[in-house]
Amino acid sequence: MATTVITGRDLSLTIDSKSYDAQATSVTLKTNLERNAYETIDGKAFYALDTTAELSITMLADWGVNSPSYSICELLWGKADSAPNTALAYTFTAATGAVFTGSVYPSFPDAGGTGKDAQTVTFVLQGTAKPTLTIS
Amino acid sequence: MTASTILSAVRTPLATALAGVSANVFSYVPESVPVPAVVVVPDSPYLEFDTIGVISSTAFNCKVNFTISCCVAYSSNPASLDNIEQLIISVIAAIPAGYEINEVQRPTVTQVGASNLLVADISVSTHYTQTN
Repeated sequence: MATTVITGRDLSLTIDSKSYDAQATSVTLKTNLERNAYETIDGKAFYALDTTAELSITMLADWGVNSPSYSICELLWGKADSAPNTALAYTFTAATGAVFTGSVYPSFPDAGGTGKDAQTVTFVLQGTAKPTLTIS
Repeated sequence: MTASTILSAVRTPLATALAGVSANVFSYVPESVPVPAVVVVPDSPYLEFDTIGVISSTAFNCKVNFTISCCVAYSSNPASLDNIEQLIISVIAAIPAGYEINEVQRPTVTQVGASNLLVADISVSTHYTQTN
């Protein structure tokens, strides 16, 4: 098999029908499988209990930028402020043919930065459930 | 809709924003440099790709790095240094929002043709998104 390389250029993220590609510098979808371990007389046994997911995003801040497009920071802040218990659907493409879908709860993006650099925000969005992977 | 270009979306607006400073402003390297002058030239690396997503002719996001060279006549050192400091301050004050101002390199004497210029480079960065 030839070596395959996929890069950040293959990534794509949409949350609540808004594309994050132009602003996001790093996106990671982490799915955790929680297991209990039991010491039995035959040795250690594991049992899967629950699955959680979280979406970690680092992006260039876009506070105050609503023209000609929209501000992701302000959209997310508005959702976290007005409907924090309403999940937002997301689509996260790792590469063509490998697409994760699910829902995350909104959270408040950070605001701030250093004097020299472009402002960036980092936040973690908690998933409602294990994402669905669609392979095509 | 005509596709945007780095020239139309970044370099020309930057040169226009700098037009208010008391110097000749160029968005390219001129054949001769009439001092005082401000010249916007690509820095290295010129384009960096720091956002996720497909890069194509219709979906193109990148960080663009420029050097803004501030040039004054080099005659007496104290006066020339004062002139270039004032020019640097006026240029930095005129740089539009959305630009990272990284640093100002120390002034150096550069010979252009028969004349000596005192030149200091300002490194700035911004982001460009293809709009069509």
